Amino acid sequence: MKMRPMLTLEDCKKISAAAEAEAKKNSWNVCIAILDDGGHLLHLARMDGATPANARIALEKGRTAAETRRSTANWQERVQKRAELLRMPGVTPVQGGLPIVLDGTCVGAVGISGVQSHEDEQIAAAGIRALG
Amino acid sequence: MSLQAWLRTSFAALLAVFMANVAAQQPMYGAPVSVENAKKVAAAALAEARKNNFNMALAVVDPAGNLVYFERMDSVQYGSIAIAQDKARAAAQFRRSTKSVYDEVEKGGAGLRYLSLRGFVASEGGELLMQDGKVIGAIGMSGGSGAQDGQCARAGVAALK
Repeated sequence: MKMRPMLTLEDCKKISAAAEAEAKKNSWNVCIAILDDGGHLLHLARMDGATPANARIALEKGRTAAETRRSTANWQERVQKRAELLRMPGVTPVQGGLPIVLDGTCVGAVGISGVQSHEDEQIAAAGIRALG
Repeated sequence: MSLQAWLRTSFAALLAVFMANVAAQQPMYGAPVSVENAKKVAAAALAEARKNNFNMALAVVDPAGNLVYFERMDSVQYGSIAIAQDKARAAAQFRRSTKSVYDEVEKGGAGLRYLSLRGFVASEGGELLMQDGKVIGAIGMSGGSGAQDGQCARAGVAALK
C-alpha cells in the first residue's frame, strides 16, 4: 500500500499565520486560502481590507495549483505561448497559487490574492516555508 | 366620546401599530466583521465542537455572504465544506438564523415556501454575528447533526459579546 502525507488543521494554521505575517510585514492586505490535494478548502483567512473578490480568487488559484500540481505562475507562462490553454476547465492561470509538495507528493496548495501577482506568490511561498 | 378622547385613542392605536412594525423589522447591516473577530468566533465555536467530540467545518462570512474566515477540522466529510459556507451565506443574506427557517419549514403549510426560494438553507447551523444591533456577518457550521451544528455556531456567536 502506498501511504501519502496529509495536511492537518494545525499545519494549515501554521501556513496561514506565516503567510499573514509576510503580508503584514509589507503592509499588504490579502486573502490566504489553503486546500488539500483534491482542491477542497481547508483554511481561509481574508485580512481586513482585502476584497470579496480576493476571497474568491485566492480559492481558485489554490484550487488550480492543488488539482494540477503546478504553480499558477507556470500556467500563466504557458497560457502566454498557448492561448488554447485558457479553455482548460477549472484553471485560473494567474500567479499566486503554489502547490505544497512533500517528498515529491503534492499534499495541497496555497492560493493568495490581494496584491501584485508576484507578491501574492511571495506570500504563498513564505506560508509553505513555515511547514519546515 | 369627545373628539379629543377619540384623537388620543386613534393616535395611541397608530403608534402601537408603528412600534410593532419597527419591532418586526429585520436588523440593518453594519460594517463587516474583522478577521480578528472572525478568528475569535471560530476559536470558540470549534472549542465547543472539540469539547463534545464533534467534527466540523466552519465558515465566517461578511454581511453579503463573502468568506472572511474558514476552518475545517481534520477528517470532516467533504460535503460539509460547502454546507458550512451555504449556511453562513444564507444567514447573512436573509438576516436570520437558518434555525428560524428550519422551524418555519417544519411547521409545513406556508412555511414550506422557503424550500423553493433561492439561497435559503433550512437546516440549523447558520447564525448571525451582531454588533450594536447590526448584522456584521454570519457563522455557518456543518459536520454534526443540525442541533449540534447550531449549538457550536451559537457558542461562536457568544464569543463576540
